[in-house]
Amino acid sequence: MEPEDSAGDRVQFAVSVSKDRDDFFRLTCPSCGRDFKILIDSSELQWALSAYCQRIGRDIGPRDPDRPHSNRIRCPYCGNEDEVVHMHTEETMAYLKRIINREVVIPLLNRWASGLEESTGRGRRSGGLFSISVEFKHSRPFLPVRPIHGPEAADLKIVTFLCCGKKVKISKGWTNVHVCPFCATEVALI
Amino acid sequence: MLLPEEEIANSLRTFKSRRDSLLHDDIATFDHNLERFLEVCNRDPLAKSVLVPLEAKYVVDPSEWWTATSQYESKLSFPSDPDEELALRFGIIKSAQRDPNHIVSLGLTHGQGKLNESVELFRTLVVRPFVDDLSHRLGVAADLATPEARAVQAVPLNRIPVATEVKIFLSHKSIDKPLVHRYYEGLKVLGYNPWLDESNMMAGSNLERELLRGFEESCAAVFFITENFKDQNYLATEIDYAVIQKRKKGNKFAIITLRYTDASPVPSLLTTYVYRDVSNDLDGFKELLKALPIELGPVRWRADVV
Repeated sequence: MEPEDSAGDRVQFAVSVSKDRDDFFRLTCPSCGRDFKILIDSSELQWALSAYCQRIGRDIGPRDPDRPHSNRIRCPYCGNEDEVVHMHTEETMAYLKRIINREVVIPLLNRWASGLEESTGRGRRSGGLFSISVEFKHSRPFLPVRPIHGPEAADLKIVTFLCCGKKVKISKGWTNVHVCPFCATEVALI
Repeated sequence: MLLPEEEIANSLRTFKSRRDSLLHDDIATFDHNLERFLEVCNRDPLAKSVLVPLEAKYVVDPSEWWTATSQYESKLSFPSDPDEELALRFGIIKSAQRDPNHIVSLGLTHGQGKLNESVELFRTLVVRPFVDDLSHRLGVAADLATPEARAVQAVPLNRIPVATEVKIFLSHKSIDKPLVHRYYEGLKVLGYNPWLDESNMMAGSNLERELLRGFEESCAAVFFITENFKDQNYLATEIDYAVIQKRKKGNKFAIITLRYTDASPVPSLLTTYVYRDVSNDLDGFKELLKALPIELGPVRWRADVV
């Protein structure tokens, strides 16, 4: 993933999320709160990261105008339809937020603080009618420790949707799946 | 190790929550979070399944490590064996919880005069690598203890036929009954619903009406062309009925003709549909299954073996 600022300088960092043994990635429906899993595309994570980056005025990755920002999906339990980026678990969102803080926000603040220090003549400038005094406490900045995602248990049962061939994992006891989360075809579990 | 799947999921959930608090919460709460994290390491069955064997295998001496580390300009040194390193890091972290002065001393040795900075250093250099490795090992242990995922199918409603649509009508000459019975039995064993005049017609019923009903409830009509076949009487009627059903149901009805070696010619009405020359029953059965418009469900264990 590459957050890029308007000046063109790039920051590169790796984001490693944990999938389960069967390559499924956990999501949570924001409507009913139940967990399910899908075989996720890495671009979905990029868009989830971009939501945080955009708040601080940064973009992630090269823009592809032909590609939609995110895929929509229906919760296999309650049918609520939303973008995948809105269905990440709290754990994933906390992880992504920590990554952005560590790799983008804090370095940005450090650069800003260094620039301020330089522009104020290392702390003290006086002359004319005004006198400005800025005090800097120098200490080697610690970056927060790099967050860890996972591990992810290989729980839940796999449902293959014969309408579009895609798969989700849902709770083992759940049988009330009436609509395909991907293409909205009416289905029955048999 | 056999743990219920739910217990494994709970173990991982608790571990991740305590780990993230330890790594990311405010440094002022480090002692509390360290205690709670070590509680999981020492008591949780999944964590114990990873850590206890390592502790049993390697005799590590954290105090020796602390002494070596507190030397002026010393580097942090760990065993090259990853298992032994994990065991040593675990020992170091436990000893740091018992005596927080170790952490202060580590900070001082590395130029960090303040307590917060020392704790941050300890968290970065000792704790983070330990929890990273332990996370990975817990994932492996959880996978080993978890059964393979079961799969079910979600079938579009328009692909699920009703029971009165899926019979397979077996049309034949009476003299070929032994041959057709073999097909009938084979289809029954596989779970299909074959239809034979003698077994499916009620005594005294109107033959024509029963035939017609048989066709209307079928998804396929199979014609067995042997040297005995003649396109006349009821066989002729059955061909007519089959063609009518085909026109009515389209792709959801198949007319399948199996012509045995040295058999009579295939009636011209049937030649436009699926038509195969077969030399034996196995060939014929394979061609029949391939031509059917229905398929059977996913593999499952027989009820009497589970």
